[in-house]
Amino acid sequence: MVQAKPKSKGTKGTVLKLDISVGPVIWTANIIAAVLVVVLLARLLFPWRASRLFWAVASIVISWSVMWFLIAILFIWLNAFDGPLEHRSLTWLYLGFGAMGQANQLDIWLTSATSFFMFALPGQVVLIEMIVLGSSGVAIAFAVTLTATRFFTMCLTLFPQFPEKQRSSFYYLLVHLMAMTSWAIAMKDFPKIHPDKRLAYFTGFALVCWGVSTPATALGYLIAGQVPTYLSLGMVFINPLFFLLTFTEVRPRANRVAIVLGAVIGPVSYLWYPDYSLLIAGLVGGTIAYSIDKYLRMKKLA
Amino acid sequence: MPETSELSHLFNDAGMWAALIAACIGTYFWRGLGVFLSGKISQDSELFNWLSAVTYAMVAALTLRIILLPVGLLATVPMSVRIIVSVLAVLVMISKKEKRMVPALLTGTIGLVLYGLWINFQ
Repeated sequence: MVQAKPKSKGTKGTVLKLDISVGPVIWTANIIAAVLVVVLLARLLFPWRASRLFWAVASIVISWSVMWFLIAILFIWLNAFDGPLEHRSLTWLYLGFGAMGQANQLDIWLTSATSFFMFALPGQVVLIEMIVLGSSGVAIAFAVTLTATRFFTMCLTLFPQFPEKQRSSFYYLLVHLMAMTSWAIAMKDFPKIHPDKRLAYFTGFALVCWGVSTPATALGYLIAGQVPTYLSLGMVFINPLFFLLTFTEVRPRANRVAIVLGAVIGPVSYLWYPDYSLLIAGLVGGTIAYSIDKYLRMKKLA
Repeated sequence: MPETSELSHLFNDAGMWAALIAACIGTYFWRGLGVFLSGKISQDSELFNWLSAVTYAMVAALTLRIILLPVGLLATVPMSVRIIVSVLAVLVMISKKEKRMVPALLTGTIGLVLYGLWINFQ
C-alpha cells in the first residue's frame, strides 16, 4: 500500500485559490472569443445589402450577443460573490466605478473603455472627475499619467520574480492586466510558488481581474441608472471610500506625509484653481513630503 | 444634478475621447517602461521615492476633494453626513490589526444608503 504523502500546509491555500480561478478564466476566454466572432461576422456583413442572409446572420449575432451578455452577468456574479477576496473587492469597485460614470452623466462607452484600455482605478477616477469639471485635455492626460507612475515600480518588483528563461514579448501584453490587486496577491503568494509556475499563476489571476473590470463597469453603469437614488448613492461612494481606507495601510513615511499634505492642499487649491488642483496638490504636496522625508533621513544619518 | 450635466456638455465628445486616449497611452507608458527596465535597474532610486510621494499626494487630494467638495450625486448629501460616514468607516478599518477592508467598506456604503433611505421615506 502506498503511503500517503504528508500534505504541507503552505501550499494548500494556493491550490484552492487556483481551483477557484479556473472557472472565471474559462468564462473570460469565451467572452473574448464571442466578441471576436461577432466582429468577424460584422465585417463579413459590411459590404452586402440587406438580404435574407443579412437577417439570418443578424439574428444569429443578436442571439449570440444576448447569450454572452447573460454569461457576462454570470461572470460578474461569480466574481462578486464567490472566489478570492481580491476578485470580489475588485468587482465591487468596478461596479461602483460604472455607477460613478452614470452619476456624472458620461457616455457608457467612454466609462467602459477606461476600464478596458486603462485598467487603473485611481487614474480612471481622476479622468472622470476632471472630464466632469471640464479640465483641459492636456491637464487630464498629465494628471492621469502621473498617477500611473506606481506601475513602473510595481513592474520592477514583480517581473524579476519570473525565471529569466520565460521572458518574452508576452510580458508587454501581460503588464496591461497588472493592477494593484493582482500585484499585491502576486507579491504575497510568489514565495510559496515554484518560480516556473509563477507566470501561469499570475496570468490567470490577472486575466480575471482585468476580464471582470469592463463588464462590471458597464453593468454598474446600467444598474445605477435603474435603481433608486439611495442605492446608487452607496455605489458612487465605494471608490472614494476605498482610496481613503487604503491610506491607513500606507507605511513609508514620505508617502504618509504626502497623503496628509495632499489631503489639505487638494480641497483648498480646488477652491481657487479647480482645473489644476490635482496637479498642484500632487506636485507641491508630493515634493514637500519627499523633501521632509529626505531631510529627516539625512539628519538621522548625520 | 443640473450643474453636472451642463459641465459635461462643455466638454465635447471628441475632446473626451482624445483625453482618454492620451491618458491610456500615458498609463501604458509606465507599464511598458517597467517591463522593459525590470531586472535591469533597482527600484530604490530617489526619483521613484519622489514619484511615489507625488502619486499619493494626488490620490489623497482627489479622495478628500470627492468627499468634501463633490460634484453630482454625492453633492446632494450634506457634508456632515459624508464626513461622519467616512470617519466611521476609517474607525472600523483601524479597529483591528488584521485586514478590515470589507467590513469598513460595507460600513461606509451601507451608512450612505441608510441616509438616502431616511431622506427618501421621511
